[in-house]
Amino acid sequence: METKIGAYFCKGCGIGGCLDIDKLLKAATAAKVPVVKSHDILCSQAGVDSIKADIAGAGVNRVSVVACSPRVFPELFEFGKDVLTDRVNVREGVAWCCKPNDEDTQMLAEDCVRMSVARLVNSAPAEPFVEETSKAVLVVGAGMAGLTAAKSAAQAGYKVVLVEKEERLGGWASKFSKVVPKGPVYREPEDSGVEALVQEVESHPNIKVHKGATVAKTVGQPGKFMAALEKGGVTTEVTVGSIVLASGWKPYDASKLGRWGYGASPDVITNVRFEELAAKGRIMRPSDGKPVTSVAFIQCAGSRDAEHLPYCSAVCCRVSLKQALHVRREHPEAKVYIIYKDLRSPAQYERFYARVAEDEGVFLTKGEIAEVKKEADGLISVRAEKTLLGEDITVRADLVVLATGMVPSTKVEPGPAAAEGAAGKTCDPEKEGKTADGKKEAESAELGAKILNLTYRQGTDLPTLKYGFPDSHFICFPYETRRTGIYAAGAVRAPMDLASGAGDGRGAALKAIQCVEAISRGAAVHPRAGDLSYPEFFMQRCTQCKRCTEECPFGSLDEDNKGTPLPNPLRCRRCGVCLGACPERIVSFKNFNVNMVSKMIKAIEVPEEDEDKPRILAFICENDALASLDMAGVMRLQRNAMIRIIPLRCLGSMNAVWVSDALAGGIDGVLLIGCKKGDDYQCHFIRGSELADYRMGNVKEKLKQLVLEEERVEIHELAITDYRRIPEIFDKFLETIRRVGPNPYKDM
Amino acid sequence: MAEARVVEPDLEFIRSVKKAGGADVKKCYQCATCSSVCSLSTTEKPFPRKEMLLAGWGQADTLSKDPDIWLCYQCNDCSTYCPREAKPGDVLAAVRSFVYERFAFPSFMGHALAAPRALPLLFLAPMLVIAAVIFASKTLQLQLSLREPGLADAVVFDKVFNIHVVEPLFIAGNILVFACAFAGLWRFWNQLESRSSGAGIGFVAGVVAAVKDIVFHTPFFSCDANKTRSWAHLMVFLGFFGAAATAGLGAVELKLFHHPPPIPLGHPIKWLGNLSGVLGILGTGILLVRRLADKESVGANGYQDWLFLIMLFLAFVTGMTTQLTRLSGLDAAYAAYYVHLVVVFFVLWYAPYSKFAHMFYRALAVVHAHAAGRRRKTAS
Repeated sequence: METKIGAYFCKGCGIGGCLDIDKLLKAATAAKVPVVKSHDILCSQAGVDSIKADIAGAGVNRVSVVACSPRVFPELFEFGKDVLTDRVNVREGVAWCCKPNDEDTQMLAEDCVRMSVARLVNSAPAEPFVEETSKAVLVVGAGMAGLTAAKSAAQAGYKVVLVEKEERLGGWASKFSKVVPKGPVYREPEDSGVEALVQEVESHPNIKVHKGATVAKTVGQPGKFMAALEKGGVTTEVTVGSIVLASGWKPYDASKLGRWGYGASPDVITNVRFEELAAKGRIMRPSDGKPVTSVAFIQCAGSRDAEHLPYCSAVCCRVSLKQALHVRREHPEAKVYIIYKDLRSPAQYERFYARVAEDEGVFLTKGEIAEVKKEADGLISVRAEKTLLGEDITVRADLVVLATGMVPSTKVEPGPAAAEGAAGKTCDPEKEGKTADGKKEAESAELGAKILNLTYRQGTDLPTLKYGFPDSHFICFPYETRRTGIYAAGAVRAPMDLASGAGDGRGAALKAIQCVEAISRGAAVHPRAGDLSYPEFFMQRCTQCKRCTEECPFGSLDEDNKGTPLPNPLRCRRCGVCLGACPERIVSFKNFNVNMVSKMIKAIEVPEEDEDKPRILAFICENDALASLDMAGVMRLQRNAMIRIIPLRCLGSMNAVWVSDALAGGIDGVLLIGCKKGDDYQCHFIRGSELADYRMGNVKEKLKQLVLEEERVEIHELAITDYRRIPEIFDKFLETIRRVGPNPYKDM
Repeated sequence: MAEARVVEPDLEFIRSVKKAGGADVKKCYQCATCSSVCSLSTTEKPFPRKEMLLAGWGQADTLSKDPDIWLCYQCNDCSTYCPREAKPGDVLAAVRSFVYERFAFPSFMGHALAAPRALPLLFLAPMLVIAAVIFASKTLQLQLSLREPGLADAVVFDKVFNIHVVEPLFIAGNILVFACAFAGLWRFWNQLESRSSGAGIGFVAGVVAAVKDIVFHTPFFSCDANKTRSWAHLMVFLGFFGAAATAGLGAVELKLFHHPPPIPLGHPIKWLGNLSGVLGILGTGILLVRRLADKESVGANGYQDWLFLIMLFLAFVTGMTTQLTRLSGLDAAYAAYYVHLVVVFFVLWYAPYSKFAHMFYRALAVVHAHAAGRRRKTAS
């Protein structure tokens, strides 16, 4: 179908007062736009109707809405799947942030129109990739989180396959005699309630339970995962749409806790061991079986400690409080000491803390453990320094309980296990890491333990963050892992208690459901939820360089033994990192491709050198930085009008060729603005901003070849809340460019 | 490796503090709001935050040696501001009660004063003693009728309560009581000294400074809250010492000048006695009303608090009643005097073990604070 562009200009919200709309219309006409109209208030019914009339009557199928930010009324300017709309933001991006009725401002707006035309001419409406998919959910692990996930998905009408490696369901919750209070009034320990949940799950018609089974292999992609469940040598294959990984936690290895007295006496035990003793009945001293009349709890034993677990496991403080109460209830004369770094019993659990602390036999103090040793009389003495009592103290107890932390089941212990993991895979994680950014990847994201046994080119299991959790972005995208369609829930995702685990199970179940539904329509999941485009590969020109297969943050691309990428479109999150990676420019989306952006760059008018009108191109990440720019506009933060903006799906989708295109075309400088990278990255596609930074190396190389100054390209990190920094970044860069001087390629 | 003090909490101590008004001691979570509002707190000694923790940890020994708890006049700023409602003011009062009990000599007396069920027995002792006095007086003066001829309608206490029986009994009793109090105080002083670092102004100067503090109630008035209470306490204090002085001067009149009681109404000693009585009744009355009406700023009312205050109030009221009935020539005056004597003996004899003992312990602690250089910082 032939493309026919209509450009519609809004005069409202101060746009008309700032820009010469007639001149803008002329610029559009000059750019060969057949239908050019303006409206006082384009978002009014009359304005929208006039566009609709042209679509129906004049055959317009590409609409350029020259008005406000695409974040304003997004649905209002959607005109069906055959019509492509481009929103040209001359309100927040021009009228509200640049000098009104100024020549430079007018030129900026005209460039925006020309770039929009180039974008519309060189792209097409997305055509979704739709295949027959399954909507069943596989839940791995039947602890509190897994059971709740299974129940929630089943209640929502989805088929669930629940796999548990143990012979009975319930996980840790079924092993604890009492748990910390789960609801108001948060004062007394409660039953976990897991038995009822197990019963409900086992009898639910939508749930198929596999006990004593493991996942031997998972192949495929969301909507079409094929999992081989193994039980006693017998393998059952199931097809599912998405997976909830609720494989839980393991206690930190107590044998490493010698510094806190572990191993010095059988009477030094862990909190998990305490639960086992408590479940059996009265707490007796392991060494001689005598009743326990004094217990010292040592908090953060191997937690919040650089040499052990650097993080807080969130539950140990409350668990010790609960166990203290258990001891006190058994023995009215018992003395319980709790020595902590900081007692963390957050939010409503403050009530539980207060309830336990008010018990006359519970003694709490902050303190640093100096020594734990067995005394001649059989008691264990704990010496603590810097206590609240204002002096170093020793307490003597029958039993010492070390409050040890939680380790995610996905965590691979360093040492032999990691070496084995690295050797036994189709791909070497070290190598994967090195190619990405040369050094840090191996530390920050190691390949997790084998639980799902995926057959991805990038490895057999979920990549993990720094501490071994398979989460991908703990603040913004809970439950998301770096494998599309696989969601982590419960203590495998972050240390948490049973109530949070249940909440997590529900949350992850909803994500799994969203996923199977989106996939069935060919739509992307978070963060480009609903995006129907997907990357297409022009294989004839592929040189099998493996950049895309290695760099895809989600492991979408497998490869054959020659290194040719084998795309799995249903795993794709549409970030465009492959597009940015490909030196041959063979990756394209219908509505986002290398050529389109190159044409947009060409559409920018570059004034002659003597006009002193530098031109700067800014590639802006759509996820945070672009929204931040909008906020700067709303705040009316003024900036210079020399900067032309091209939004990108992710800074990782920036192809280095665009920088060359821009500089060769006379653009004086290029700005790249994306999210924060590193261990605490903000990148919505995990590694995009890191990859962009890595590619800056190539860009600098290119600059050398062109004999251009390094200063002409700058990369910045910008959080969504950083909008106040925008004028400074823009204006400083303009200063730099003025100092470096005009691009010598301008007049060529 | 360095040895650290072995901390062994005393659960019984915690229970006794809870029972004596410090029921919320374990609610403290060491936020230090109390220390930031307390004029006694210094950077090195976060008072009463540290005392709260020590009490919560059952550290009876450490607290018994702690002079700081005696420098507190329970203005209750701490309890007012405590976000946890742990009521440090009440806890300190309870700890002080524990200390009278702990240092009491003989120690069973300490326990008896702290236990409500021993109260009837405690009353019985002075009742019997005074009854014995009546009996002895009767034996001495059997020939006399109740009303002396020529002194018609006059009440003469001497006939029923022979002054030569009452006086030695009173003096001997006081000597015994003070000896017992001294024994307790001696132990207390040694405990204080054991933790003292010296470098103060010395004992004598300490006593002088302490007397000044006590007479003028300077630290008392530095409490921002509870000014009424400070005035009331001053009235009771003056009333009590005025009454004591009246009794002493009465004895001097009798022994040196052979003027038998009653002292005439116009005599300065009588004026002093009556003024003290009025001050005492007013002071104790105000304190009683406040305890009943203003629970918020007064704090907890422990058994010892009530016992002490009511007995003191009764001592003043019965004294005044005795005088009034006597002047009115009513026979009821004998009964009133009997009750008065019982109450006064109760107050005095049990002084070292009841809340009355705060007079001794606090005075000594203030002396120690001055002498050893632990003087509280002045409220600024």
